[in-house]
Amino acid sequence: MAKTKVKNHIRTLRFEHGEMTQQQLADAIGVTRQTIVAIEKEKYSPSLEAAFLIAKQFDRPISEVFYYDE
Amino acid sequence: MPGLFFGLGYLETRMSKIFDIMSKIIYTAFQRLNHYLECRMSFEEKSAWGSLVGLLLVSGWYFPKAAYLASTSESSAPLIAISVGWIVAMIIILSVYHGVIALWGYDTDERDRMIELKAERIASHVFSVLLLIVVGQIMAEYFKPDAESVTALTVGVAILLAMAIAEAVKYAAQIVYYRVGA
Repeated sequence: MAKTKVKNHIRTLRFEHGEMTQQQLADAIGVTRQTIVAIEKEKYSPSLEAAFLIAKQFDRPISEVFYYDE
Repeated sequence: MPGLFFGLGYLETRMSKIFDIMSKIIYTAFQRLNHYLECRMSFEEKSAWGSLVGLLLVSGWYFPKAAYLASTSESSAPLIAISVGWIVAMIIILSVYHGVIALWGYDTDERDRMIELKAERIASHVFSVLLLIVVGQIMAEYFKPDAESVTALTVGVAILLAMAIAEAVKYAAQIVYYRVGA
């Protein structure tokens, strides 16, 4: 599996936010649930817009949701 | 006579139990398939799988037949007829398939669009290479003494084959990107 270098804490943040489901997050930012699954598994790097929208859902700055693994 | 009624009643009970079990198996299988498709694949991925299978099946029938007709038939009518049949079959199969998978939803997003673009880029390179091979073949045939063996129809079939291969590569690339990661 080709993993991206853009890592994230989405799974943890979802559970911290009332066990938000992948579908709820997907609906909130306007993507499919499969895309949230791919982002969480680090098989897909979201667009900058999607990344900002995800961070906004968790009321966190983008750097606390996503980080770059060098 | 009572024995016969008893036998029929017993048979009816057994048959009803068998139908009950069969309907439960079918229902469970359908539920599991529904759950799997909903969880694992987006509309575009299901579309890529179906289009690839449909294209391979219909083209697997069409191209060997077209090659045979192009090399043996005196008239061009049968080749034109099966070519039209190939196009109509593809339209019907893909329309019905997409109608069915749309029942599970037909949302697309940035990831679908990016995967499609990446796959189309690979397919366009494949199509360009295949088209160059077809042009090279036509030019090579021109210098042969029996140059009339290359007709407009055979060129048309060769271009259709190049398009079909490029499309198959596109769908296969989409599936790989969805499964492995984009």
